[in-house]
Amino acid sequence: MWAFFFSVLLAFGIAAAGQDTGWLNPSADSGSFRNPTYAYYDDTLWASASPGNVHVYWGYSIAIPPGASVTGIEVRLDAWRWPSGVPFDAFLDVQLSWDGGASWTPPYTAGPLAGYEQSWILGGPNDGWGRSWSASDFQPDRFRVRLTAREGRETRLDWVAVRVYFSGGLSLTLNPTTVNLGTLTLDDYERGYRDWDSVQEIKLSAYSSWTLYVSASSSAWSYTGDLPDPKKPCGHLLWKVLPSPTGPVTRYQANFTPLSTSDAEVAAGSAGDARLFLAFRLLVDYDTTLPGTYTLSFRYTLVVP
Amino acid sequence: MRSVKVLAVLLGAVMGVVTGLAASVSQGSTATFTVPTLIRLTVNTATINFGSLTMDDYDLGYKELLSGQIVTVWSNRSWTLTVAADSATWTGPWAKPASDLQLKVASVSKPDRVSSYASAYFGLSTTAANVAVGVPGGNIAFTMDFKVLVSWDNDVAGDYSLGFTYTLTAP
Repeated sequence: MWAFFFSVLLAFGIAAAGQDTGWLNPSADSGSFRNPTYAYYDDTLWASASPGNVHVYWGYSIAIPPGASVTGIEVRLDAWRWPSGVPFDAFLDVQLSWDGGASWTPPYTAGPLAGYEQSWILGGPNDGWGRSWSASDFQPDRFRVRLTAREGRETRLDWVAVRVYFSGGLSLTLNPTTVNLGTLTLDDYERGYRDWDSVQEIKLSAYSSWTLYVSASSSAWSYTGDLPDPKKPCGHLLWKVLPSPTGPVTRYQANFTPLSTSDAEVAAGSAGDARLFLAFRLLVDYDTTLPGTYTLSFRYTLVVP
Repeated sequence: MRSVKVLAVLLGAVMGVVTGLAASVSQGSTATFTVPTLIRLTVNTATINFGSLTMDDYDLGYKELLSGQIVTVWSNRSWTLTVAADSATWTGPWAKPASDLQLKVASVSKPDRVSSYASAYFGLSTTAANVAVGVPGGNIAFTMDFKVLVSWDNDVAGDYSLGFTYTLTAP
């Protein structure tokens, strides 16, 4: 049990320090599994395999930033054996290819599978499956996952997803990309503003000292409604960096700042991986906040001088 | 002329080096929100009580109640405030017409948000009449004056009451 806890904590620590692609779906396959496309997504459908069946999935949209080093790969199998009551062990062997299926890594194994759906995560943030990987290895037609069903009666597979870990390079990811401030109320008008009830996470990785900027794409919000466009200024969206960003952040804007079409410095730091959390505030008034729907595009730019 | 050319070449070389070292990545994001039509109407008191009339009131022909009510409006689009009697006559000893109750706007808290308002007394009827018209704004307070018309000929002793309703619309 203690070993389990230690493993979990170690894995989290490594993951938090690097960047990852998130879980990605395949988009192509070939082999002998039945209903193989049902394993593209995490849903209620499944592919199935008999012992000895082999199937290959590929077409993963894996984007590794320029200059980044791949540190590890995870394959996630949401799988189970069928019939659940039959006590025959079933396994899925997993191998990875970097050259379109000409070469394969040694197999990792998921199993014995339970009689109910479980997520098996093979590999890890620091596990290259026995080799070093380059960004070109992950082109959609080159990187492949081969599954071999072994033993049991039938193996069912809901999802075969891949996550790639990397460090260094120059990358910038947002989560979420949309700041949805929701539907305004009269209380927002009375208060004069509305705070977003969530935060936007910015994960960045830089090989050298860096500066992160933000700017609006236009000087006014785009308005859709039945009234004349109030031309709500982009500066009515305020942003700030919440305290205690992680990683090598040397300075950041801790006070609400109006968005403008000029680049404003969000934060700066030294080489490495960093995470920032941004809060947003919308100014609300009766002159520029008429009934309708408003949209504003803005852009973050990470610069290494 | 020769030295100028050299300087230009050197400057160009420096700029090239700086440009060559810089690297950047960008990510786009979008902010969005929705605003429904929002209106609110409040009154500080639901009852306008003229109290007991006196002979002086009868002699004068009316009784006035100044600042008898404050009506407050919030609206995020242009709006109209109307008022109408709930019935054509008062409840009481006789069918006293609703028009014997008159009202007007005595003052407005935010005149820049009000295009027009009823600054002179008018009698109520079951047909809605404009109290004020305005542009988007909040906490726009109207202090209302009231007047009830009284005559020796018709208004026998008794208790009288008349319901009336304010309506705020933002089309």
